[in-house]
Amino acid sequence: MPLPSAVAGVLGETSLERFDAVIIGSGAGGSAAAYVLTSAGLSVLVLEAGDNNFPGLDDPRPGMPVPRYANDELKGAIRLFDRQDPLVEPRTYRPSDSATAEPDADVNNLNRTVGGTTVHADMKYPRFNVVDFRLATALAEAGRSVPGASFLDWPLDYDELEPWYGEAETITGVAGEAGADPYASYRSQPYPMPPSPEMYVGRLLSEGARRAGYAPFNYPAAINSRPYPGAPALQRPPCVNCGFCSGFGCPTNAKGSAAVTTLRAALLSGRCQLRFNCHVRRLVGGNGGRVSAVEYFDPDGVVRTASGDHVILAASAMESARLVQLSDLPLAAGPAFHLGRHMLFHHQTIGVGIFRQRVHGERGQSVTNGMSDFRGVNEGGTALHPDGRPLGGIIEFGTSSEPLGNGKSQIPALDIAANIRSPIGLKQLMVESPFHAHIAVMIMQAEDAPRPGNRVDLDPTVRDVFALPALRLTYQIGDFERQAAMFYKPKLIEIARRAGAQFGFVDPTSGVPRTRHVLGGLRMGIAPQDSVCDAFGRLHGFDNLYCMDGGVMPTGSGYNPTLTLIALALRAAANIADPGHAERRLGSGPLS
Amino acid sequence: MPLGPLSRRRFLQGAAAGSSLLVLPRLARRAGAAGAPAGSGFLTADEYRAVEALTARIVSSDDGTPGARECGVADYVQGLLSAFPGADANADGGVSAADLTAVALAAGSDDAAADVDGSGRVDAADRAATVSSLFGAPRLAGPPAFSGRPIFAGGPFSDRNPFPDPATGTPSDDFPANAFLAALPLTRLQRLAWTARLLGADAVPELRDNPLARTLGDVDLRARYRAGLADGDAFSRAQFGADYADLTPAQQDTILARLRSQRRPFYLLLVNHVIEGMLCAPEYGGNRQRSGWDLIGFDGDSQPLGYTIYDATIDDYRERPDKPNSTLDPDDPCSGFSDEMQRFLRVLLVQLAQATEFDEPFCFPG
Repeated sequence: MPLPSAVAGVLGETSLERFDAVIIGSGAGGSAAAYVLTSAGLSVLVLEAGDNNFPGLDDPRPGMPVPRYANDELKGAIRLFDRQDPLVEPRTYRPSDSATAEPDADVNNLNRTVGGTTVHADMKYPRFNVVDFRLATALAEAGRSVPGASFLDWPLDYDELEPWYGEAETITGVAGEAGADPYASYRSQPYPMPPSPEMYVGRLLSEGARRAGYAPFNYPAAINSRPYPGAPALQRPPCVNCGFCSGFGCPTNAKGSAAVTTLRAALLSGRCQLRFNCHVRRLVGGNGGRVSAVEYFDPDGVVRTASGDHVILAASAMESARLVQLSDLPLAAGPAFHLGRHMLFHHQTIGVGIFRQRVHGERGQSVTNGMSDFRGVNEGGTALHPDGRPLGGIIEFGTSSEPLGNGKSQIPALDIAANIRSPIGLKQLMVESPFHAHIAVMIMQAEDAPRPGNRVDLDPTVRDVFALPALRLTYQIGDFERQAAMFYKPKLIEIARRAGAQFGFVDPTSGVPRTRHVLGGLRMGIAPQDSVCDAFGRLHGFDNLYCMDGGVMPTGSGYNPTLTLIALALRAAANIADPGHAERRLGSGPLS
Repeated sequence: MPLGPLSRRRFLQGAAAGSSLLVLPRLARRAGAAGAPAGSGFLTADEYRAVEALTARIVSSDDGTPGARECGVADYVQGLLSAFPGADANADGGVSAADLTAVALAAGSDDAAADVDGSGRVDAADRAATVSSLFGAPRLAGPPAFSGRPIFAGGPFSDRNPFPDPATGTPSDDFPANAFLAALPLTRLQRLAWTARLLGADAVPELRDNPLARTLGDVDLRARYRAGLADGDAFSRAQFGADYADLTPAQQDTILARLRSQRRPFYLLLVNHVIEGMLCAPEYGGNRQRSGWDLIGFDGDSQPLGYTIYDATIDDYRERPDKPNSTLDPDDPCSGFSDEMQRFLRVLLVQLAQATEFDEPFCFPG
């Protein structure tokens, strides 16, 4: 099998030529799968569309890799260093089938880099609730019908995933405090690390929340609050709380991204090869339920082929759905209908307080505190809340840590200032900084209902740099999300008041989804007529094709989804390694 | 035995291991010093002066504190417009075959052999054609002085902050080398995208079916600047009889208001670049001697020191007393906004965005 022509595009065991599994995407799900499979003695090829910004990722010396990431807002957020560049990979968006899809620079674009979006996330890793796995049933039992929605119970329950949650927390090094969130569901082990230092803005909003009668807590996050233990090559330092967290690659590897945890462990196993700057264009075969090969563009744009006994989609929910659509696979009627549908992004409601003091959001981990009172479940998360409150989501207590992007967001205010003949100009907005240094925000990650019309398909006219049809997103929320937003909006403003703010309001949200929580499109279920995958991510009707990213989730809950995504991928990969015995935990300590 | 934060030694090992991937632009070492001489890049001397004058009225120094001019926004713009692709794409201080390749690519040639004039060989004529296409004929007289800046600066650290001392949880006196000075190499796809950003969609056939390559505000930057600056001067001459840079500040404000309404995309481009050029890391050419960060009270990059530092002897964190993570700044007056800002916020937030102004704001804790 030919290797990519650019030697710099390969890491790990370069001599490998045949693979037990080909994994498409090196993010949270793909790297978790690579870790499990290589731990079990299988050989894997990981294909990553983005560049590698962790030189030395396959170097076994302690202290490696040294990232190319820095406290540099211009590089990533403005110049799209390792983001999905809309000039390379455009997407289009329309709210409904009757509207014309317009190209947009950011349709929930995620990252294109080794380690995927975990490299830039601020690693907020709460679990879902017990009731999230049977939400369709719970809503029906409560008589709460949601017109037009397509809720579906998960094909596994919380009990089945619980050990894998523990594994995922251990592997990534989640810092948190068991029992701090009264709505969190049970856990069989403590967090691996105590909570990280709180930010001032987190303490400020937590105080407001307490005074309003809520139960704020230290937000669990996969960022080291202590030295991460384990094999020397996998030890990582404690976070120094540099402030460039959400949206930034970590310069010291204190962040437990997929790159420096699961993927690095896989690369050091001698059974993993990573080819980066390699963009998969289609899956080949499918007859007899087997995908025979994967075609991809190498770093020079030359088409190459790779094959393995198993093929694992982990390109992120939207791209995995698009990739199946780009391939000519013989799908049965049920999966063919559901493919790309029931997309879930969370509906964010963003409460804002403008304070007289500076809240210095440039220090700390972007978000260190939050609350689950608006999630809409009972204590322990085993059922819907008995008072019938809407299903909202966890609240992140945060602020602005990005002066450059925030400065740009004030440009519309300049026109308003000019129109009302205010003397306020750009300089005074930057210096007095009401929307950066003095802002506190509460982001509710509310559940959005699955709907068949909210979907990914191929745009009929727009094409990407590879001449492949662009991804077209059709998505809109309904009364379910609007009612929750309206119900919790005054409560968010009240928290700002109780925290001492001068102004409080709720930020109007844009129509184009930009929440970065990207789920659904290959949802799992028991029956092929309802779903695309089974409980282990295997596509119905296929022997060797799996999805192990957020695409498999039938419902999105109201919590940051990545830990759940990782737990599902660990479990699904363990099922490949040892079919029928996936309940056995790896159980060998942190990446030992 | 747990390891502390990355030590200087291990960082240097790592940097050495990765050094084959890095291209060190010789002239970018001047980052943070006074800006490049006017005109030594895509912008002519007159254009550079016009950018300085225009941006100086978007953020002025009338109040005695630094504005866009003092922060080096024109250097930032020059550094961006003169960056890859173009003359000196590989930042070696001259125009090389690699640069010619970039131009051939930009001209739509599938054959990146850099035979720009089609003579059948790569020679001095191709070099001249490259320089001409990028800088215009007047610059052929001498070697082009390079003032391009990295599209993507390196990492993980600048040399502005020390390593923390993990044994004490306090700053050490050990500083890293400045990795921001390294320009990261572009992948093929990054090269295509940035060719379009600087030279326009027509330069990149691969983007022909992507409408965003023609509609986004940050593509075709060189042509947008050349045309926008010409418009500014034309407006200025028509109304006041002189080029923009030679007008009085009041006249300049009049012309800027006209650009705001009649050449809006260019005006917005300027505003965006003023913000970028004032608040970027100094290695990109702006924020001269961190004047922009100081102006807004922003510390800039804080790695590898950070703010709250792990102390191995107590197995816990220590906050920096001068820059606390979890508490109000010790010197914060909690005095809120100026009267004019409060008036503006009442219109912007309360009248237009249905915000609530609370009766008794206070400063937690207290």
